[in-house]
Amino acid sequence: MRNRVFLLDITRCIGCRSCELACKSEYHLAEGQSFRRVYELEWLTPEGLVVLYLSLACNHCEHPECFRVCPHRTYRKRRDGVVIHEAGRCDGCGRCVQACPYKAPQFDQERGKVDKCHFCYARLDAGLLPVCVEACPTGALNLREGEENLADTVDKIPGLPDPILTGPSLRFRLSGRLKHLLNRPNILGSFL
Amino acid sequence: MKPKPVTRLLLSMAREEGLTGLAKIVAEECRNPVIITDATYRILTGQPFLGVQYPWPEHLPLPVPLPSSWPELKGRVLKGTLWHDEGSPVNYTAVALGEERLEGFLFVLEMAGPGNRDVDDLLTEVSLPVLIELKKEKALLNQEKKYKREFLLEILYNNFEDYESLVDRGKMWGWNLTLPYALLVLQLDEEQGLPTTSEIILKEINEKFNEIVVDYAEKRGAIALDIKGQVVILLPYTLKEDKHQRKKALEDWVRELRRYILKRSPSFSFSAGVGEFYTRVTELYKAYQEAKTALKLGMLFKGRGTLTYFSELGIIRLLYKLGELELRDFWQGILGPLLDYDREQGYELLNTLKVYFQCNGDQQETARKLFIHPNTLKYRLKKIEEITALKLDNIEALVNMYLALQVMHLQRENK
Repeated sequence: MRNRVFLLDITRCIGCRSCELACKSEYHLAEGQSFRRVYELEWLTPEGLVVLYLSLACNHCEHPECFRVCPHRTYRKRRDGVVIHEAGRCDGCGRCVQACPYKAPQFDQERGKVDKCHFCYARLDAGLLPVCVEACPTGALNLREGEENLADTVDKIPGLPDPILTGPSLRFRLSGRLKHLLNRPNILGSFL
Repeated sequence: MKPKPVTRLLLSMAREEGLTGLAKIVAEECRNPVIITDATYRILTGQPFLGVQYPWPEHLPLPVPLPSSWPELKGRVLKGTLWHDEGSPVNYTAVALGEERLEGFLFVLEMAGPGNRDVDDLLTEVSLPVLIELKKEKALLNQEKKYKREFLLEILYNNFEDYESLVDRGKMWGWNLTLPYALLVLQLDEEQGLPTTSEIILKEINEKFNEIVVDYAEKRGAIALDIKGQVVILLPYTLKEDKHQRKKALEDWVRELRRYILKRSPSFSFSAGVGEFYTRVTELYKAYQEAKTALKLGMLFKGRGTLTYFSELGIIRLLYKLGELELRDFWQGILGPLLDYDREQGYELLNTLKVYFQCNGDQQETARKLFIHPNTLKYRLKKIEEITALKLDNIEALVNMYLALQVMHLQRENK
């Protein structure tokens, strides 16, 4: 089975947070818990103020650190690459929260357990899109399978942790002025 | 009237006698021993003739053909000599089997007598039925491999119910999963120095390498699986051995594999990563992630042809988690002046420092590796101390320099 990949077209993201809210509402997440989060980044360039939005969730990494460090076999990986957190086995030790470079697993204070995005795998199995992708009004957030239509995308942007070790299933599409600006090394620093 | 060789082969196929049945008929027709191999010269079946047996148990001593050589091989009758340690060399006539790609070879060995004059024509004539049978057996084998693969993926992705069910299912494949296993991940090194770098060719080369490794490992009692361009190997060990002995056994195993690979195809070089030594099969999914990490970081920091243990990654594991900007500031603060000096003066101080660390601070060894006089090395080290304002006999300075070099290497490789 081919791996699934989130594709974010940064130029099209307007920061409306529909993806974040759709996920929160679908899974009745606790206060302060969001499987998907939209980060707003801005910086002043000689050409003026540039603002961009990054919608990030669990990246269902090829080599997930959460999966490796969990002492209770809480994480498992499906054939399509989706990393699933079995909340029943979780004792809330938080090692995965510390280990994930993308801060995807989140601690739920009420339940005393960790949880994270599961790629809406039940919907995927039913042939539907994840709720976040479906809710995106501009088509900035997309789903791709395998290497399908990924030729003009990049796997890293400045400020995000290096993908070489964990191999996140996340790609970005950049175009126009933004592409030119983001190609400057370390322009954003680290924001996670 | 004696039936034609092709008719005999078709009858044998109808009787489902397999490749062995076909090899027997070809051997009788050619009056010499016959061997059928896969595309890497691994012997799939062979038939002696009049008690004359060939001396190669696993594969023929020929270099693995590159996928790009298929257009040249297609339809040609090949002649040559095979060598072995004991006894005289053996002349052969062979035909490459395949349609769109190379699938295998059919060899007739001139061991029982001189080659029949009609061997060339005969081989060309029988190559198609042999190819069909070869592909049929390959398809069956692939089906079996698929089920094994599914099961192993369940172990590696933590997709199983419990220990007992794993052990039971392992028995179906003849695996004793109550034993502790060490887990290695192997990958063919890049930059093979091949004439072509076409993606399809590289993929085929990788597949061929993986095939050779999986076959080698399985024949020696290991469990092996190729997954996403890498080979995962589970090697049983005994709990009586301490960690040092386990490592030693593992290193010997990898060394032997390297030797074997070198014999089969000198252009192949590989790197390997090893996870922690877990005692239960239910923990192997962790070892798999660790081994992949060790392989990746080992390839980045140590280069090609290395064996890296996750448990020995040390500080590198931590460095990877730090921000790009902090890391860059760190190495540039220490090595920046050295880099500038090299650039301006055309010196090699940075490389000198790198080799000095690689040689564990042994000045004689460093000088030898750099092909310079020990006094020249002493001068360079003094210069490094002057430029960086750090003393190489101070442990803190030494550690910082070493780390800065590692970080610099890491960031440059990632670009």
